[in-house]
Amino acid sequence: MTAHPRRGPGELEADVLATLWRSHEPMSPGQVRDALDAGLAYTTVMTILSRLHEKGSVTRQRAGRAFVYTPAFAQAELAASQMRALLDRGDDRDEILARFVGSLSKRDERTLASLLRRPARPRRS
Amino acid sequence: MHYSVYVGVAFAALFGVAGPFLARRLAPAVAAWLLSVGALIAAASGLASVGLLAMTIVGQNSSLAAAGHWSSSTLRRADPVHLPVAITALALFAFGIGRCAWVLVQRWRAIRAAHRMNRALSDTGTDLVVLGDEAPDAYAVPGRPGRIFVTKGMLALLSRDECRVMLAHERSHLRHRHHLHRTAVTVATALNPLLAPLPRAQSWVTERWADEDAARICDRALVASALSRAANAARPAPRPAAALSMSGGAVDSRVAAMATEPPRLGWVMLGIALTLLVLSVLGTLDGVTDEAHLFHVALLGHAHLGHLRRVFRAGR
Repeated sequence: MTAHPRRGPGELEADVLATLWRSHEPMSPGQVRDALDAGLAYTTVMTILSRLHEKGSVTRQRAGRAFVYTPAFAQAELAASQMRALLDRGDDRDEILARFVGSLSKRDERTLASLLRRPARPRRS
Repeated sequence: MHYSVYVGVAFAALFGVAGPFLARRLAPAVAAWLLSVGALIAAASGLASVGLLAMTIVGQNSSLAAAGHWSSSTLRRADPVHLPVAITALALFAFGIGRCAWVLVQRWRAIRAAHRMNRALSDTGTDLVVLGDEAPDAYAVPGRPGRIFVTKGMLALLSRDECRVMLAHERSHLRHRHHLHRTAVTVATALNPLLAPLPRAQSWVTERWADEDAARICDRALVASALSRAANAARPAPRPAAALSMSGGAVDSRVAAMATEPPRLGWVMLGIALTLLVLSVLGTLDGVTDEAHLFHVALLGHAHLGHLRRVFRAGR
């Protein structure tokens, strides 16, 4: 299989992301391009990777002169959104929050406390 | 009332029975449209026929007749529909409407939940969302934009090219809005229980449609291997009710379909299906004419009675 003429927006990005997930180690743009075997230019892969990095779908570390990329979960975001949805649906937010905090481990409590002490971050609506 | 109204119901039922058989012999995209649009037409035609039968008893209600200026007694005398038939029709009509409303609400909720799930995720730069589970699973969740959810386990299981097949398959579900095709058939079946064989056929046909779309980017043997591997290993976890999945529905026959040439349109089968639908609609329309005639007679009866009364009074 070689290059495919028609791809919708986001499809190449999905292929790149899937390639990163299938690898057990962080990959350089060159490695991603070779693994994809889709006749893509190095710069195309580079552009896609930096876009994915901007959007938080991959993380990167410096390795020598170039960056290597590791995939990141969107799942944390998904779980958080589901918790928010539960809170919104419940009649008594305070009670739900109280029970939730009551069920946390010591470690989770420390994390939560330190998160709340941080200066307010910009929030998505 | 003549038999045409029963003819309408009979052909709608015939579409329900023959639909799956015909759909399997058509190109999947054509078959999906035939099933969803055809099921809605057959359901509407069946419901109208049952409604016409029910009207004959509803029209005999004296206060309704007075409001409509027709004669309930003439209607009773001219009515060729047996009372038990008319009562059954009335019950079926009410039951169909009620069940349809219920199914519509269920589907609307499921699709709204799917949309909400997609909205909750921020823009990740791609339509692929990878879940951390080791159990292999993959499904498409409709929304704006729709997204494909795949577990780590599924990505590890498939080869690189099989992975692309899976993505192309799920993307086809989203792009062609297969969830709406399935909803159309489910709603039609709620209105008309005689169409009960259609929802399963529609699931199969939309899966085949997505398989054929995946086969456009690679050879058919690769689609077949991706299909059987994903389906054998899939361990479906809880997922949104509106989700569609590659491992859903009669995988063996879909793998077999990949071993043959891509399906052609199938004009003959399409012709048969369309004929059934047209006959069903014609039967119902003829029933409408009969019913209009019946009520016309009842209207005349009312006018005639009024005339007699006036003559009687004048003579006294």
